[in-house]
Amino acid sequence: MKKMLTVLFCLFAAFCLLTGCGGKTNDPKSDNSLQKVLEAKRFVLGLDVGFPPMGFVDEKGTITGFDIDVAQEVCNRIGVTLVKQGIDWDTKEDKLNDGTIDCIWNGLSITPERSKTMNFSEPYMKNELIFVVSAESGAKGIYDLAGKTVGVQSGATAQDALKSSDIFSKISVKTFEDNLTLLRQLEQKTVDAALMDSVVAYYYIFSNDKQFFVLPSSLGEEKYAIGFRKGDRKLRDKVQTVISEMKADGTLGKISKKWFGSDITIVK
Amino acid sequence: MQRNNSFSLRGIAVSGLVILFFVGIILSYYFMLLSETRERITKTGELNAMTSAEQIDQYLSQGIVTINLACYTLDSMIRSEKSQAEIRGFLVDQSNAVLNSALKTTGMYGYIKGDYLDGTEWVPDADFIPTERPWYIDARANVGRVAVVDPYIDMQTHTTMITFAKTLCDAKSVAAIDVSMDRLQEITEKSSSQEHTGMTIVLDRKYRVIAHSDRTEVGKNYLSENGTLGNALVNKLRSSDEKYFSIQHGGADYIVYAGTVSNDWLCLSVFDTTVEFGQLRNMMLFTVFVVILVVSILLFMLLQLNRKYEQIAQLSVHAVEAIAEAIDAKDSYTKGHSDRVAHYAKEIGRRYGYSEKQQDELYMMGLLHDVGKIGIPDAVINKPGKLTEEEFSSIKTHPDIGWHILCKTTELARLAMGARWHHEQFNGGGYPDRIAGNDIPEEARIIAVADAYDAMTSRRSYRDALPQDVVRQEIENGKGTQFDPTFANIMLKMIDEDHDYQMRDQ
Repeated sequence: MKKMLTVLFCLFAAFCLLTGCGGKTNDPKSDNSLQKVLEAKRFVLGLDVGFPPMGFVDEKGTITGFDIDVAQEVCNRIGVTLVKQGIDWDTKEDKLNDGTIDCIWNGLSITPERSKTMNFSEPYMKNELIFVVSAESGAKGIYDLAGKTVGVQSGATAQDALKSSDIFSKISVKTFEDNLTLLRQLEQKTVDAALMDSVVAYYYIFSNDKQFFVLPSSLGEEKYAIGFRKGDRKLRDKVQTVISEMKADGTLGKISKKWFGSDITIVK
Repeated sequence: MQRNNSFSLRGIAVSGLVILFFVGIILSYYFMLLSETRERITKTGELNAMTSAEQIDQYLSQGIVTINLACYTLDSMIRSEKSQAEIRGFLVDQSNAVLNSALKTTGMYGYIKGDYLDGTEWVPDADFIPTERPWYIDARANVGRVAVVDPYIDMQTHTTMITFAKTLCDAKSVAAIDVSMDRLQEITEKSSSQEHTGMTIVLDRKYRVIAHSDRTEVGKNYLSENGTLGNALVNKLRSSDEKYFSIQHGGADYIVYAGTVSNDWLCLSVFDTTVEFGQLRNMMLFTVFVVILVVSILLFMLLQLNRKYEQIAQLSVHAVEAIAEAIDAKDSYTKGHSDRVAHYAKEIGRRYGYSEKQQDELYMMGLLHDVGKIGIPDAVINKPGKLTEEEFSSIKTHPDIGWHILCKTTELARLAMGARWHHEQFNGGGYPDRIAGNDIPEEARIIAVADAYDAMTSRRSYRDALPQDVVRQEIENGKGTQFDPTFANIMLKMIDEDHDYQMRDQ
């Protein structure tokens, strides 16, 4: 009888093994990224403060923007304080990895290169790389820029896109720390054209009532996402979950409406 | 009784295994069929979905291309500082051109350099503020990309009107074109009317229904329609990136193919597989039921048979016990002797490591060891005084008589050796064959010890039962001479454990 039971048990065990019941435990390293933020009660967001309308300093001197509003709401829901830490865009990866900031959340475009060093959230918005010229410029298309000076933000994806474009050999390039400086330089005609994120360009032109023109074709479409440290899976997943909730309850749409007039987020 | 129990339990276990085996086979067959069916459905589903997605995509692209081309020209006109009248003229031309294209449109219009310009005959009311219209706001929000503006649903026809709008080069002007989604609706309705009972759904980024095989669904927002199939679909879409998935809703099973079309819209093909899978499942359940039924009937029959067998076995034991009683009845002083010897022998066998079957056989052998006494005259057996030489030789024939009686029946033949050799001694000094050591069958050596022990612990006509220490000493003395030391030692151990001298004729 005992033997029978043993045989039955063995069969059952074999069946279990074959069908693979019993969950897999696959947690490589103890990831305490979320716990750390919850315990410190602060979530440090790194941004380039000259990037309207995603994150920038308003006339009262406070850091505001679409990304900031979303991040603030996420922090409210998690129960931590949002710390807005301005950084030099060129050193963003270093600041992330040395722990100065917990994430880069500021119209950060997803690139295969960046995916190797960062843990991206799901994309939340689309962007295009466009050329902006002053009203007096005669350039109507990209190829009219030959022989001209084109400004670009250093460390931005626009810089890489420009380098790999056809006209790179025919133009001279000037880099700037942020896009607002770049646009001011365009106004003062120290550069003939600026390559930048459409999100920033359109917002700047419209809100400042400046006379600029956008050239019709772009140097490519990109998607914005939040960048976390490579190992910080739990923190990234928590933030992602909250953003998904905000999408479902309409909060995200409301914030998008506030900054863009309509819901242009692409969160699932 | 214990035997009986274990036998039926084993029967149940065996039939359990048989059922498991068959059910396993049926289940694996069922899952094979299921995955085959699923594959077939997904294949046709994918084809169907891709065709409609492609058509939908084509239609949307057509609208996007149309507005993009117009915007190129408009950009160029703005940069060349053409007059508003010239720009309006272009919009009128474009409107006329697209009216005759595959796009179902009402024409093109825009808010350009501060003026509302319309390519059709339409004249706006005095309170019309173009910068507050959704097409203007959405175009601006989409910073240079073509905006697909909130679809407007005509409740009368359940068709959707949609606007494609785009910001122009100065970042302030916007051009737009209205397009009917009739064609999209047609595509979804047509794809679902084909052989499979599926539905095609087009959802926008906000999970609003742009087109649906079922017209009444158009315009609903599945993200907030809690409890509906649409909501279940959206929840699944939001949580996974898979192209195919299956969901259950309201007791029905669905397989879904999800594809992305222009403008991040989703084209879903949903197939209700309840009927097909249901048939399969019913077939499987029926087969399992039949297998369990058949095996249960077999098990029942087996148990019945087993009970009969047990009854017969019981009957033979009772018969042998009756014979043993008959033997003991011949001698008033040896009442119960055979029964006790049988028990002692069985216990020795058990301690020695006999299986239950061997123990039972030993027990029967014990019961029948003195069967030969039937052939000895009562007068000799019951004689109170000392026996004469002649009488003693008569007694000594009982092993041989027992042997012959038992050899007559094939079923009891094995028991005959207990009867023949239980008076043999280990050193060869016994009777009738004067064999020694291992030539004496093991069972007979055991019975010899048990027999001697019971003789000493029972009352005789001429004495009472011997005291336990005397009995113990006698067994000890006989070790190696009269008894096999192995079994004598087991007997000694039994005596030592019997503190109150219970093991005797009471």
